[in-house]
Amino acid sequence: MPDYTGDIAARPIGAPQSKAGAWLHRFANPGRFQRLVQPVLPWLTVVAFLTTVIGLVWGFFYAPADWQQGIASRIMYVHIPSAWVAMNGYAALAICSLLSIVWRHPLADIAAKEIGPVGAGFTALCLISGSLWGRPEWGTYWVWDARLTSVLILLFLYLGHMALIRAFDNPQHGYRAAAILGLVGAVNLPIIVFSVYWWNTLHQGNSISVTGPSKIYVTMLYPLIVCTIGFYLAFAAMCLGRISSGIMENRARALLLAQAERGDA
Amino acid sequence: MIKHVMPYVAGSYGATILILGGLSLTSLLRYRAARRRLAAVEPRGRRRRDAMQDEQS
Repeated sequence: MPDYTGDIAARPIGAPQSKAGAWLHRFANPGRFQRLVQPVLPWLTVVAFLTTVIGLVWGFFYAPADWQQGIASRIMYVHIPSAWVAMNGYAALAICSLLSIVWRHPLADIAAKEIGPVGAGFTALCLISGSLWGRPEWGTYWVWDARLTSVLILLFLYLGHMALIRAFDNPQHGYRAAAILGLVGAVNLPIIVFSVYWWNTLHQGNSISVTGPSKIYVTMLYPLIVCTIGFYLAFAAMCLGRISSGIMENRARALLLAQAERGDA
Repeated sequence: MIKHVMPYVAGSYGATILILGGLSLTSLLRYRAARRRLAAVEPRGRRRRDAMQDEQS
Protein backbone atom coordinates (compact mmCIF):
# COMPACT_ATOMS: atom_id res chain seq x y z
CA MET A 1 0.00 0.00 0.00
CA PRO A 2 1.69 3.21 -1.09
CA ASP A 3 1.77 6.15 1.23
CA TYR A 4 -0.72 8.89 0.40
CA THR A 5 2.04 11.19 -0.77
CA GLY A 6 1.86 9.21 -4.02
CA ASP A 7 4.80 9.10 -6.40
CA ILE A 8 6.84 11.26 -4.07
CA ALA A 9 6.69 8.59 -1.40
CA ALA A 10 8.59 6.25 -3.69
CA ARG A 11 11.73 8.33 -3.22
CA PRO A 12 14.40 6.97 -0.92
CA ILE A 13 14.39 9.25 2.08
CA GLY A 14 17.63 8.95 4.00
CA ALA A 15 17.80 8.77 7.74
CA PRO A 16 18.40 12.13 9.41
CA GLN A 17 22.05 12.75 10.22
CA SER A 18 21.70 15.57 12.75
CA LYS A 19 19.27 17.21 15.17
CA ALA A 20 18.37 19.77 12.49
CA GLY A 21 17.85 16.96 10.01
CA ALA A 22 15.64 15.07 12.46
CA TRP A 23 13.59 18.21 13.13
CA LEU A 24 13.17 18.85 9.40
CA HIS A 25 12.21 15.24 8.73
CA ARG A 26 9.59 15.46 11.45
CA PHE A 27 7.95 18.46 9.78
CA ALA A 28 8.42 17.07 6.27
CA ASN A 29 5.61 14.65 6.97
CA PRO A 30 2.69 15.68 4.68
CA GLY A 31 0.12 14.33 7.15
CA ARG A 32 1.53 16.48 9.95
CA PHE A 33 1.66 19.45 7.58
CA GLN A 34 -2.02 19.01 6.77
CA ARG A 35 -2.97 18.74 10.44
CA LEU A 36 -1.08 21.97 11.18
CA VAL A 37 -2.13 23.98 8.14
CA GLN A 38 -5.76 23.08 7.48
CA PRO A 39 -7.22 24.66 10.65
CA VAL A 40 -5.08 27.80 10.19
CA LEU A 41 -5.66 28.32 6.45
CA PRO A 42 -9.20 29.84 6.52
CA TRP A 43 -8.18 32.35 9.20
CA LEU A 44 -4.95 33.20 7.41
CA THR A 45 -6.88 33.78 4.18
CA VAL A 46 -9.38 36.12 5.85
CA VAL A 47 -6.65 38.12 7.65
CA ALA A 48 -4.57 38.33 4.44
CA PHE A 49 -7.57 39.54 2.45
CA LEU A 50 -8.56 42.19 5.00
CA THR A 51 -4.99 43.46 5.50
CA THR A 52 -4.39 43.71 1.75
CA VAL A 53 -7.68 45.52 1.13
CA ILE A 54 -7.04 47.98 3.99
CA GLY A 55 -3.50 48.63 2.73
CA LEU A 56 -4.59 49.17 -0.89
CA VAL A 57 -7.52 51.45 0.05
CA TRP A 58 -5.28 53.42 2.40
CA GLY A 59 -2.59 53.75 -0.26
CA PHE A 60 -4.94 54.65 -3.13
CA PHE A 61 -7.35 57.04 -1.38
CA TYR A 62 -5.77 58.37 1.81
CA ALA A 63 -1.97 58.37 1.50
CA PRO A 64 -0.53 61.81 0.73
CA ALA A 65 0.90 62.55 -2.70
CA ASP A 66 4.66 62.95 -2.95
CA TRP A 67 5.86 66.53 -3.39
CA GLN A 68 7.93 65.60 -6.45
CA GLN A 69 6.09 62.64 -8.00
CA GLY A 70 2.55 63.68 -7.17
CA ILE A 71 -0.02 60.88 -7.05
CA ALA A 72 2.23 58.57 -9.10
CA SER A 73 3.89 57.77 -5.78
CA ARG A 74 0.75 55.78 -4.88
CA ILE A 75 1.96 53.05 -7.24
CA MET A 76 4.67 52.46 -4.62
CA TYR A 77 2.11 50.72 -2.32
CA VAL A 78 1.75 48.01 -4.93
CA HIS A 79 5.19 47.99 -6.48
CA ILE A 80 7.45 47.75 -3.41
CA PRO A 81 5.54 45.00 -1.53
CA SER A 82 5.25 42.91 -4.70
CA ALA A 83 9.01 43.28 -5.30
CA TRP A 84 9.82 42.17 -1.74
CA VAL A 85 7.45 39.21 -1.91
CA ALA A 86 8.81 38.21 -5.33
CA MET A 87 12.40 38.16 -4.03
CA ASN A 88 11.65 36.48 -0.70
CA GLY A 89 9.37 34.02 -2.48
CA TYR A 90 12.30 33.00 -4.63
CA ALA A 91 14.48 32.73 -1.51
CA ALA A 92 11.85 30.33 -0.08
CA LEU A 93 11.89 28.38 -3.35
CA ALA A 94 15.70 28.17 -3.19
CA ILE A 95 15.54 26.88 0.42
CA CYS A 96 13.01 24.23 -0.66
CA SER A 97 15.35 23.29 -3.52
CA LEU A 98 18.23 22.90 -1.05
CA LEU A 99 16.10 20.74 1.24
CA SER A 100 15.07 18.68 -1.76
CA ILE A 101 18.64 18.12 -2.97
CA VAL A 102 20.27 17.54 0.43
CA TRP A 103 17.56 15.75 2.46
CA ARG A 104 15.14 14.72 -0.29
CA HIS A 105 12.15 15.99 1.61
CA PRO A 106 8.91 15.09 -0.19
CA LEU A 107 7.24 18.22 1.12
CA ALA A 108 10.07 20.45 -0.17
CA ASP A 109 9.39 19.32 -3.73
CA ILE A 110 5.67 20.06 -3.46
CA ALA A 111 6.40 23.42 -1.80
CA ALA A 112 8.89 24.44 -4.53
CA LYS A 113 6.37 23.43 -7.22
CA GLU A 114 3.59 25.49 -5.64
CA ILE A 115 5.65 28.57 -4.73
CA GLY A 116 6.67 28.99 -8.40
CA PRO A 117 3.38 30.21 -9.93
CA VAL A 118 2.57 32.46 -6.95
CA GLY A 119 6.06 34.01 -7.00
CA ALA A 120 5.83 34.51 -10.76
CA GLY A 121 2.52 36.35 -10.27
CA PHE A 122 4.05 38.74 -7.73
CA THR A 123 7.11 39.30 -9.97
CA ALA A 124 4.85 40.07 -12.94
CA LEU A 125 2.91 42.53 -10.74
CA CYS A 126 6.18 44.19 -9.70
CA LEU A 127 7.24 44.61 -13.34
CA ILE A 128 3.82 45.84 -14.52
CA SER A 129 3.42 48.36 -11.70
CA GLY A 130 7.03 49.52 -12.20
CA SER A 131 6.39 50.07 -15.91
CA LEU A 132 3.20 52.00 -15.15
CA TRP A 133 5.17 54.18 -12.74
CA GLY A 134 8.03 54.62 -15.23
CA ARG A 135 5.86 55.99 -18.05
CA PRO A 136 4.83 59.23 -16.30
CA GLU A 137 8.06 59.58 -14.28
CA TRP A 138 10.79 58.47 -16.70
CA GLY A 139 8.89 58.97 -19.94
CA THR A 140 9.15 55.28 -20.86
CA TYR A 141 7.62 51.97 -19.82
CA TRP A 142 10.91 50.12 -19.92
CA VAL A 143 14.68 50.69 -19.86
CA TRP A 144 17.37 47.99 -19.81
CA ASP A 145 18.44 49.17 -16.39
CA ALA A 146 20.29 46.72 -14.10
CA ARG A 147 17.48 46.57 -11.52
CA LEU A 148 14.71 46.13 -14.07
CA THR A 149 16.66 43.57 -16.08
CA SER A 150 17.58 41.51 -13.01
CA VAL A 151 13.91 41.43 -11.91
CA LEU A 152 12.93 40.34 -15.44
CA ILE A 153 15.49 37.53 -15.09
CA LEU A 154 13.79 36.62 -11.78
CA LEU A 155 10.50 36.25 -13.67
CA PHE A 156 12.22 34.02 -16.25
CA LEU A 157 13.71 31.93 -13.43
CA TYR A 158 10.26 31.41 -11.93
CA LEU A 159 8.80 30.51 -15.34
CA GLY A 160 11.75 28.22 -16.12
CA HIS A 161 11.31 26.47 -12.77
CA MET A 162 7.59 25.98 -13.44
CA ALA A 163 8.30 24.58 -16.93
CA LEU A 164 11.18 22.34 -15.84
CA ILE A 165 9.33 20.73 -12.93
CA ARG A 166 6.58 19.61 -15.37
CA ALA A 167 8.85 18.73 -18.29
CA PHE A 168 9.67 15.10 -17.44
CA ASP A 169 7.59 11.94 -17.60
CA ASN A 170 9.16 10.87 -14.34
CA PRO A 171 8.21 13.54 -11.76
CA GLN A 172 11.37 12.81 -9.73
CA HIS A 173 13.56 13.93 -12.63
CA GLY A 174 11.54 17.12 -12.89
CA TYR A 175 11.84 17.83 -9.18
CA ARG A 176 15.60 17.23 -9.26
CA ALA A 177 16.25 19.41 -12.35
CA ALA A 178 14.01 22.21 -11.04
CA ALA A 179 15.72 22.07 -7.63
CA ILE A 180 19.11 22.63 -9.28
CA LEU A 181 17.71 25.58 -11.26
CA GLY A 182 16.06 26.96 -8.12
CA LEU A 183 19.31 26.82 -6.20
CA VAL A 184 21.48 28.27 -8.98
CA GLY A 185 18.94 31.02 -9.65
CA ALA A 186 19.34 32.29 -6.08
CA VAL A 187 22.54 34.00 -7.31
CA ASN A 188 20.22 36.55 -8.93
CA LEU A 189 18.81 37.73 -5.57
CA PRO A 190 21.87 39.69 -4.33
CA ILE A 191 22.28 41.04 -7.87
CA ILE A 192 18.75 42.49 -7.67
CA VAL A 193 19.34 43.98 -4.23
CA PHE A 194 22.75 45.52 -4.93
CA SER A 195 22.22 46.38 -8.63
CA VAL A 196 21.37 49.98 -7.75
CA TYR A 197 24.77 50.31 -6.00
CA TRP A 198 26.96 48.26 -8.36
CA TRP A 199 25.82 50.01 -11.55
CA ASN A 200 24.61 53.48 -12.50
CA THR A 201 20.91 52.79 -12.74
CA LEU A 202 17.86 54.87 -13.52
CA HIS A 203 16.08 53.01 -10.73
CA GLN A 204 16.36 54.82 -7.41
CA GLY A 205 18.21 53.41 -4.41
CA ASN A 206 16.53 52.01 -1.31
CA SER A 207 14.28 54.47 0.54
CA ILE A 208 13.51 52.13 3.42
CA SER A 209 16.06 50.70 5.79
CA VAL A 210 15.60 48.16 8.55
CA THR A 211 18.83 49.12 10.36
CA GLY A 212 18.82 52.92 9.86
CA PRO A 213 16.30 55.72 9.46
CA SER A 214 14.04 55.49 6.39
CA LYS A 215 13.87 58.30 3.82
CA ILE A 216 10.11 58.05 3.68
CA TYR A 217 7.71 59.99 5.92
CA VAL A 218 5.49 58.07 8.34
CA THR A 219 2.20 59.05 6.64
CA MET A 220 3.47 57.19 3.58
CA LEU A 221 5.37 54.52 5.48
CA TYR A 222 2.38 53.17 7.46
CA PRO A 223 0.19 52.26 4.45
CA LEU A 224 3.27 50.76 2.83
CA ILE A 225 3.84 48.57 5.91
CA VAL A 226 0.18 47.47 5.92
CA CYS A 227 0.33 46.64 2.19
CA THR A 228 3.57 44.72 2.72
CA ILE A 229 2.09 42.66 5.58
CA GLY A 230 -1.03 42.01 3.48
CA PHE A 231 1.00 40.88 0.46
CA TYR A 232 3.17 38.56 2.59
CA LEU A 233 0.11 37.05 4.25
CA ALA A 234 -1.59 36.63 0.86
CA PHE A 235 1.53 34.93 -0.49
CA ALA A 236 1.66 32.62 2.54
CA ALA A 237 -2.05 31.77 2.31
CA MET A 238 -1.86 31.04 -1.42
CA CYS A 239 1.28 28.91 -1.09
CA LEU A 240 0.00 26.93 1.91
CA GLY A 241 -3.35 26.38 0.17
CA ARG A 242 -1.66 25.18 -2.99
CA ILE A 243 0.74 22.91 -1.09
CA SER A 244 -2.20 21.45 0.80
CA SER A 245 -4.03 20.92 -2.52
CA GLY A 246 -0.95 19.22 -3.97
CA ILE A 247 -0.76 16.82 -1.02
CA MET A 248 -4.45 15.97 -1.30
CA GLU A 249 -4.16 15.42 -5.07
CA ASN A 250 -1.18 13.09 -4.56
CA ARG A 251 -3.04 11.20 -1.87
CA ALA A 252 -6.15 10.77 -4.06
CA ARG A 253 -3.95 9.63 -6.97
CA ALA A 254 -2.12 7.13 -4.78
CA LEU A 255 -5.38 5.70 -3.44
CA LEU A 256 -6.81 5.33 -6.96
CA LEU A 257 -3.58 3.67 -8.16
CA ALA A 258 -3.68 1.25 -5.24
CA GLN A 259 -7.26 0.36 -6.11
CA ALA A 260 -6.37 -0.09 -9.78
CA GLU A 261 -3.43 -2.36 -8.88
CA ARG A 262 -5.80 -4.61 -6.99
CA GLY A 263 -8.16 -4.54 -9.98
CA ASP A 264 -11.16 -3.48 -7.97
CA ALA A 265 -11.32 0.24 -8.82
CA MET B 1 -1.06 66.46 -13.63
CA ILE B 2 -3.53 64.41 -11.61
CA LYS B 3 -5.62 63.59 -14.70
CA HIS B 4 -2.48 62.73 -16.65
CA VAL B 5 -1.10 60.30 -14.06
CA MET B 6 -4.33 58.77 -12.71
CA PRO B 7 -4.71 56.12 -15.47
CA TYR B 8 -1.27 54.72 -14.58
CA VAL B 9 -2.07 54.63 -10.86
CA ALA B 10 -5.48 53.07 -11.49
CA GLY B 11 -3.87 50.62 -13.93
CA SER B 12 -1.35 49.41 -11.36
CA TYR B 13 -4.07 48.89 -8.73
CA GLY B 14 -6.23 47.17 -11.35
CA ALA B 15 -3.33 44.84 -12.21
CA THR B 16 -2.96 44.08 -8.51
CA ILE B 17 -6.62 43.14 -8.18
CA LEU B 18 -6.48 41.02 -11.34
CA ILE B 19 -3.25 39.15 -10.51
CA LEU B 20 -3.80 38.63 -6.77
CA GLY B 21 -7.51 37.94 -7.30
CA GLY B 22 -6.76 35.47 -10.08
CA LEU B 23 -4.10 33.65 -8.06
CA SER B 24 -6.36 33.52 -4.98
CA LEU B 25 -9.35 32.29 -6.97
CA THR B 26 -7.42 29.54 -8.77
CA SER B 27 -5.82 28.46 -5.47
CA LEU B 28 -9.22 28.36 -3.74
CA LEU B 29 -10.95 26.45 -6.57
CA ARG B 30 -8.09 23.94 -6.75
CA TYR B 31 -8.17 23.45 -2.97
CA ARG B 32 -11.91 22.78 -2.99
CA ALA B 33 -11.64 20.43 -5.95
CA ALA B 34 -8.79 18.50 -4.28
CA ARG B 35 -10.80 18.18 -1.07
CA ARG B 36 -13.85 16.93 -2.96
CA ARG B 37 -11.80 14.45 -4.97
CA LEU B 38 -10.04 13.10 -1.90
CA ALA B 39 -13.31 12.85 0.02
CA ALA B 40 -14.74 10.80 -2.84
CA VAL B 41 -11.78 8.40 -2.95
CA GLU B 42 -10.59 8.18 0.65
CA PRO B 43 -13.47 6.31 2.32
CA ARG B 44 -13.18 3.48 -0.22
CA GLY B 45 -9.43 3.39 0.27
CA ARG B 46 -9.81 3.28 4.02
CA ARG B 47 -12.35 0.48 3.86
CA ARG B 48 -10.07 -1.60 1.64
CA ARG B 49 -7.04 -0.94 3.81
CA ASP B 50 -9.02 -2.04 6.85
CA ALA B 51 -10.12 -5.15 4.96
CA MET B 52 -6.51 -5.94 4.04
CA GLN B 53 -5.46 -5.58 7.65
CA ASP B 54 -8.28 -7.90 8.69
CA GLU B 55 -7.14 -10.47 6.13
CA GLN B 56 -3.57 -10.28 7.39
CA SER B 57 -4.64 -10.67 10.99
